[in-house]
Amino acid sequence: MEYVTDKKEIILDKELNNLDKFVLEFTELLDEYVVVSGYVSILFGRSRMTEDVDLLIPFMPKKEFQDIWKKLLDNDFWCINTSDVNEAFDMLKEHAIRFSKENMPIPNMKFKIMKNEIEKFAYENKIKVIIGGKILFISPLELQVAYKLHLGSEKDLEDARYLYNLFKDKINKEELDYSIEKLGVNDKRRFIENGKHKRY
Amino acid sequence: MGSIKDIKVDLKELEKEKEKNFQERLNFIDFWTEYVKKNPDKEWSKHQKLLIDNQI
Repeated sequence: MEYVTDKKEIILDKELNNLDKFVLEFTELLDEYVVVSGYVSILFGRSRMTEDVDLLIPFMPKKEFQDIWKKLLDNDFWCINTSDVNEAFDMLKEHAIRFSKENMPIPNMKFKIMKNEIEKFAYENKIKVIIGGKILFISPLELQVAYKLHLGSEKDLEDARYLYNLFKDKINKEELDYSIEKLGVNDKRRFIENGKHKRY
Repeated sequence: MGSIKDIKVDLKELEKEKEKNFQERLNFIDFWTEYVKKNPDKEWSKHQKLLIDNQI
């Protein structure tokens, strides 16, 4: 893989697995989004599976959501939460809704409107990944590492460590420091930087 | 058959075991990171594809 930092672009020549295919098939139906959290680590090779992929979108008016809904259904996706587009739109104001391929609940896309500053930052500073002739937008790696430290489960700490070590030479250290500070996880820095760890 | 109520559980020992297990997992992650760095995308992704496709 090649990370061209000044273009905020990563070129990935991997053999696509079924999870990658699911994500690419879904995201190519959208114009504006950013993929965040666990799948970002998996995209770059982390040896684990996930049942859901987190995707953030900017707020959109109902008409725009109805268009996306139709496009998704036309491409054999369905919403796990409800079959009613209006209900789905109302739910989206409160929490994420999930889409999967019809009658295949796993994997699914956790579709959420970005609300807080961190989520907006991830969207506005997204990285372009060129993969299998397609384009995928993901959250900036520095924020991703810090966010995983913030989540803090063993799986999340492992994801943070993996991403950090994989991109150690390319990561913007200053941005990482700010991200870690903003998320208040300075005490967890040792999980990505040292050889020895104490979980608690 | 014995009952679980009859055994002694050393919670400190279990905690140590959990820590050891986590450390061991981190060691594997470091190994795998190096593997991904040193090999072409097509190579490491073949292994990942096996793992993921078998679960979906």
